[in-house]
Amino acid sequence: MLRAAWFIARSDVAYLLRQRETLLWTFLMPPVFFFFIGSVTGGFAGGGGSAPSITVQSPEDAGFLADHVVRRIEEQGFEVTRSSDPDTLAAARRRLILPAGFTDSVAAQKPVKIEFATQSDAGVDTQYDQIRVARAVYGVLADVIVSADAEGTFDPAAIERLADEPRPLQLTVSQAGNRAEIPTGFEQSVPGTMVMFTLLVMLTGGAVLLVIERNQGLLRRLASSPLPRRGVVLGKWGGRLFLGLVQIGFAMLVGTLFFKIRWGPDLPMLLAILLTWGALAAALGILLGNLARTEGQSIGLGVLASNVLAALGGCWWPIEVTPQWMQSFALTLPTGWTMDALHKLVNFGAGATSVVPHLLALVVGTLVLGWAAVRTFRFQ
Amino acid sequence: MIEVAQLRKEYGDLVAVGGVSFTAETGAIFGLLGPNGAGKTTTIGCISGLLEPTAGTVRVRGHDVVREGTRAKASLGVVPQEIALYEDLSAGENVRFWGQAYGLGGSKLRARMTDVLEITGLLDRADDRVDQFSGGMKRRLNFACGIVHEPQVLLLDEPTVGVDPQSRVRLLDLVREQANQGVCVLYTTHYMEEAQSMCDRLAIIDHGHIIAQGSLEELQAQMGERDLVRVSGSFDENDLRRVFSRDEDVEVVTVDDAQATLSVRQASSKLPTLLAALTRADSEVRDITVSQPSLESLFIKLTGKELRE
Ligand SMILES: Nc1ncnc2c1ncn2[C@@H]1O[C@H](COP(=O)(O)OP(=O)(O)O)[C@@H](O)[C@H]1O
Ligand SMILES: [Mg+2]
Repeated sequence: MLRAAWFIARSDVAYLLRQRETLLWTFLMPPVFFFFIGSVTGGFAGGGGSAPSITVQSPEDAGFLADHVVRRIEEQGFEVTRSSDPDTLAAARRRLILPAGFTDSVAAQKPVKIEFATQSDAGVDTQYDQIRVARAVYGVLADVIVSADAEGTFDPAAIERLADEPRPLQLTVSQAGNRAEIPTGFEQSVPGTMVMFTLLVMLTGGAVLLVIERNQGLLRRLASSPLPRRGVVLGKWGGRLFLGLVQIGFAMLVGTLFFKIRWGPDLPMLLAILLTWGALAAALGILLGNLARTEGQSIGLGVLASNVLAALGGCWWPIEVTPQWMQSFALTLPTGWTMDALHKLVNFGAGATSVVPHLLALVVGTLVLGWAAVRTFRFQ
Repeated sequence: MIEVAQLRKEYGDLVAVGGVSFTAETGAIFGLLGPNGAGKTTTIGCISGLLEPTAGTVRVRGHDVVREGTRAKASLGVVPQEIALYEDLSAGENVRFWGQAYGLGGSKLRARMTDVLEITGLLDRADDRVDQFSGGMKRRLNFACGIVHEPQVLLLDEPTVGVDPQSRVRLLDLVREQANQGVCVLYTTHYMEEAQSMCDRLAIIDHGHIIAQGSLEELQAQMGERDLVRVSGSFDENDLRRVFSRDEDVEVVTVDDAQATLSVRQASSKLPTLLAALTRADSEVRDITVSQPSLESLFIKLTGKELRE
């Protein structure tokens, strides 16, 4: 049986790798999508490689303290643009509004209100932004107190000096636990596209070959050969799995070399997740090949299914930016299990044990789909 | 040797093969002749292990196809009715694939690939993709893939359908050659002439049943040296049957309003009498043909219908 499986797997891989469509969708399109989806989604949560941006509105009479606030915010890693145009402010992802007469009000020891707003008001990322902005503002407050003289007045020069001096007491605030920054840009698009295109190739190329073989009588002919049937089915699955792994390996290589993706500290677990993902996608491809009657059907269904599963599972955009119900729903889909596990391992540094449930779900999913694929396999 | 005993295959209510028995000997061509839908492909499917029989047994070289499937299949070569080839692979790659599927490898496989491509006249096209081939070339390649592993038992399911005359002659020669080399060949066809010219023994199958079986001579003897006379015009069935009811030399095989088929001893010398009798039966004769005893006339005699509809 293994000899038969090996023979069939080898032949299928050789066949599929010669198809223009397979090459296109395995090697050429994924990097293109890495780039485009990565570039488009770069601003989703403001994280990723570039600094998060913040637009500060400071009226002309805001005074020198406003400059100091900006400086402190920049120290927190934000890229600050100043604007007083209402449209720009409304469109800004994060905005900080300083009141008119800001410096004077502080000097007169009147209460002032600084307004901070973000476009999305949910998620860990926003909380992190708030923490950092608050830290900057408290920093300014501390500077004001320290530089004020006995009468309670302060001058710009003193503040200026303070800003340049090393602080006697440096408070380093970092979030408890792991950095929880939502992957955006390439950090999202490379794994997302990789997961999606593995499925796409399995559900189109992998399924179509089976449909062609059945409609051409090739499977019938194989069933008349001495090759054990179970070996043939196993080989069909194994060949597709191998192809999926080639695709994943290639995507990881390109991601590492050209998109500067770091795959996190739990590489063995990451590879185990991707391996089972490939196994599951391969089984799904066989299943679709069993159910489809024509080439057109299998391509249509394959494209539809892989796009829907990819979108809902969080391959297209970070699922963390979507409403809670969509995030929950994603976790009922194999694409969701895979993407969530990848985010946990790569971006949230949640550790290998945190994705054991994901791995188990993928293994069970593979077994169920594999069983269904064997049960519905038709030689004619 | 293939031994088929009481083979039966049902698809739900439909009986595709209803209790077929025959034996195909080594070194000979056994023909299975019948119209479309007669059950030829189903029979081949049961012998090749593709289909599981509803009842009955099939043995290939002594091995039961159901219980010792792998051993039975190892000595089988199958050339299916459809062209079961990878269209976007080359001819050579197709032959290699099927050779490997039957366990060939290395220099043996290479030698056999060259051999079968050579004898099917495709050696110079070995590297060309199959989808550029003509129908006849594909048929020949289909055949080549079935014999690459030198099977001792060869199942050919209508191997000449839709080919040009040249390819047909070549294929028929190849089949004959296989039998001469000692291969047991089972050959299905709906072409009367092929069955007649190719097969050492044959069975006529219709609606899943074998209606006649034997060597060509034996089958022709069943016709009783009678010619087949087909008359078209307009007839009254009762009158016609009454007129010929006492004539020993004439048997009414079929008759409807426009067509009558008669089995007649020494038809050529009896034509005037025949026409006179037809006139007496108030028939109008527009056309009349006489054919010598043949499988065709036997088939019509046995089933009351033409083989090719
Ligand atoms: N898979 C199937 N399901 C249902 N009926 C079938 C199937 N295969 C063949 N048949 C029926 O069985 C009968 C015999 O078919 P087949 O063996 O292909 O005839 P032949 O090869 O002599 O033309 C036909 O009536 C055909 O419709
Ligand atoms: Mg047939």
